[in-house]
Amino acid sequence: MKKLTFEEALARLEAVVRELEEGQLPLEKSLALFGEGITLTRFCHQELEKAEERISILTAGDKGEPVLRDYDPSLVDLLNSERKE
Amino acid sequence: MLRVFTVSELNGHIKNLLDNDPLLLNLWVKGEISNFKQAASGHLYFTLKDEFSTIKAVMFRSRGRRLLFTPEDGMSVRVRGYVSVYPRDGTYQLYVEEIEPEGTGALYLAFEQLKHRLEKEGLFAREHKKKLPLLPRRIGIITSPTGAVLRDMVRIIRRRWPGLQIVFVPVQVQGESAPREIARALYWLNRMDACDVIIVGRGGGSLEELWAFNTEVVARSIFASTIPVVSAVGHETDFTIADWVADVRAPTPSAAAEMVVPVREEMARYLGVLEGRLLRAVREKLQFYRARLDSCCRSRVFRFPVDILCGSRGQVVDDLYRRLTRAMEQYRQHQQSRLALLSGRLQALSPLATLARGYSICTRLDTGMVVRQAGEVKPGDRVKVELHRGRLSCKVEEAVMEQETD
Repeated sequence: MKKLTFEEALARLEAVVRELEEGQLPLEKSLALFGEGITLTRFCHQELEKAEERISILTAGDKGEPVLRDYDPSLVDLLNSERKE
Repeated sequence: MLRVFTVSELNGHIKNLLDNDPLLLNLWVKGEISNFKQAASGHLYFTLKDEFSTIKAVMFRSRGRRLLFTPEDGMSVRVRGYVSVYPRDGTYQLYVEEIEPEGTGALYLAFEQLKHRLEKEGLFAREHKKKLPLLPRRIGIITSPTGAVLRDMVRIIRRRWPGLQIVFVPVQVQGESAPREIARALYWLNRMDACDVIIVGRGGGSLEELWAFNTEVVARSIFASTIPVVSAVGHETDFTIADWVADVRAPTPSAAAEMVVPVREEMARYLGVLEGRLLRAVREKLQFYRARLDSCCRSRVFRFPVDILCGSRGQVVDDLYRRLTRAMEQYRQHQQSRLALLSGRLQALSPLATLARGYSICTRLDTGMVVRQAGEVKPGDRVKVELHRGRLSCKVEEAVMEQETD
């Protein structure tokens, strides 16, 4: 199965909450939905905390092909000086 | 005797005259374009006219290529060029080197024309607009490596949601190479699937400086992008073709960063709200079921289970019980009356009745045996004589045996 995106997880969580709030479900289904909701909440929290901060630079290589480099030191300097403000 | 010229000689002479006229060498002419057509060769042919007169005009391909806009019939223009003769046809015409639209600038006209054309083609259509992801993991930024635009965007992105990846593609945002570089950047980001959303833009500038964002190649690259594109060109009031083609137009680059990246704290808060609703909903659900269960437990069926469960069967039992007791009662009465009858007959047989008639019963006091013959007692024995009413205690004086008759 394709990994859920934050957006999909959040949308599903909203749907689960709505369905539970409407309260027309049998108990077993409610509890199953609740379990799913808790899993989704946990996933969303994890996504929220995820930090992969990185700035890459995409430029043309020698033959004009795209080259993705991790960062340009001068750019990082620029950003760091900005951060001190 | 006049000299006889060939046609070629004549046309050559006229051409010579015109070509050497200083006025006709380089001049501006204003008029309205008609009969415009572009030949397969790429040369542009049209007629320039005013109210009273017309002149044929040609613009060679090498010149025409540089035109930003497309000349159209009815367009009021000023053209610069020279007048010369086309010897083959013996016609003179205007050799056009530049065309400027009358009134509006060439850039503006080109902008309007391209916009109109792309709009007709459907590049701005709402159904082609892609939704921005709620939370992009990687953000592609296409802009100039110099200037404050990138720096501002990175700062805003970091502030709103620390920890997001940025893929920066430095490009020229103005000048000859700008349109191609921007188009290539869009193509690269798509081909490498390098990000979830693209911001393409630059800071404010004149119409000329923003020109790259009004070119067809950039417009078509934005349209072709499968990754959602946010245009962020110039200031609030600057509108470019890129803005119309883009999935979302941001008024400024900073605004684009804000549109693309949610605020993490807000998202966390919202998630908390959802979590609370989830818990409350399930708690209410459980309470609802518990209440139902409780009311079941309190119900008559649990308190008087036999009544409710056996209901009709109980009635059958009751009925049978009634019938049983009735039958037993009848049986009892029947037996009782039989008993009365029997006891009446028994009465008749009772020795007590005989006694009433004057008989008495003598029993030995010591053994209680009934005395039937005198020989059963001897003088001195004590006997009891039972009378109809009362009894006698007696002592035997004499026992007289009776003679046997037979």
